[in-house]
Amino acid sequence: MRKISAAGFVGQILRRKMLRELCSFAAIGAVIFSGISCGKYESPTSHYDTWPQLMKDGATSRGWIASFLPNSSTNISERHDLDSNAGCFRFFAPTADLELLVSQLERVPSSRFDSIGPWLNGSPDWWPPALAKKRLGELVINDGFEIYQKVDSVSQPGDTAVWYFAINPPKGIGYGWHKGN
Amino acid sequence: MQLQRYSDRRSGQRKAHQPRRSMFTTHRRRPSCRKSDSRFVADWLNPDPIGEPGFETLRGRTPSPLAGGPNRYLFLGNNPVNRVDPLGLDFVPILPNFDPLGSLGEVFESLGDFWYAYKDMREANTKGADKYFHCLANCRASRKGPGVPLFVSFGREVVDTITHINHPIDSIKDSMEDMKANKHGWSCPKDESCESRCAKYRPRGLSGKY
Repeated sequence: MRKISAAGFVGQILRRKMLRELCSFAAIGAVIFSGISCGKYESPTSHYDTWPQLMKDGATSRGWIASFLPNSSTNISERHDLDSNAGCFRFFAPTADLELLVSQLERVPSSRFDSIGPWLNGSPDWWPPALAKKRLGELVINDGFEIYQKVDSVSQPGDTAVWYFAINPPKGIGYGWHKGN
Repeated sequence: MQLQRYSDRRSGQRKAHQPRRSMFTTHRRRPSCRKSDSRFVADWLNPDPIGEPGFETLRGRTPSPLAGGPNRYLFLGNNPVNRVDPLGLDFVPILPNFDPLGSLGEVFESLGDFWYAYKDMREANTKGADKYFHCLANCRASRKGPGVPLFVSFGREVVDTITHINHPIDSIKDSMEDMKANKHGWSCPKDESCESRCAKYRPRGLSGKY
């Protein structure tokens, strides 16, 4: 059997059909690696101290935060998934403004709690554990929140979306989420 | 005939024209039916000697009755590897005739289309824009060859489904929608621009620069 050097062997591989197979394996590896590594870049998180700051950034026009939140909202945190288009946000507002917001929303009966849970992949620190585990009932009974929804087609850049909220006006805090399209 | 010959052998009688077998041969050899180097059975001189009249006596020496005669692959347009004719009416391709990866230059250009579309999608950061960019990337990349868009799009959706496994139904539904947008992109006719092709996936809030 004829002996060949390592360089010769590599040369033979490159000349022969194995090159295509190597490229295929490399491409498969690249797709899997990029798919997994890009995951975290596709779930950006944003924080806005005030409502004007949020409007300036265009978070409502890009469809990630409901445009009908109280203008007095502060300390707004938001996270979304670019691939599934699902997202969630938390905001603080005075009790009176939250009560005004609640009056524009439709209350969700507890029988539907299982089907409207947030769809986000992974939860940010500020997201309550009860919502992360889709235990909306716990949030209502233990923490005094109420669950609401609103169908919105005005502020959505894409299709009509349904916004879901867990709001506790006396505590001045609200959580919102939306399903992707 | 076979039984006759075995009985001859047992009784020590052998026909004169039969060569003596090697003593190391432990099985009866099949007749040499493959006379041609072709991998297609129909090109062999005697493709199926078993059952032919006089098989055992002639031992594959009979030329195929069709050898040098009618073309057996004419009904497939002389392309039996890529075509089939299941109904006996006309041949159809087994798979679309494409080169899975194409030349390396085109591969990198196609991958570049995907990368720039992905970068734009992240920069635009707009709800619902992913399908527009899926469509756009597939449309642009498919102009350089269909292999890379198919591979990257399908691979990406498989990875997405795995990474969003905690919401399997929503994830699969979303992947199906994405694949629909991909297909819309890569089926774009040559004379149509990718932007107009993918306009139906364009969300209202997306910046005009994309």
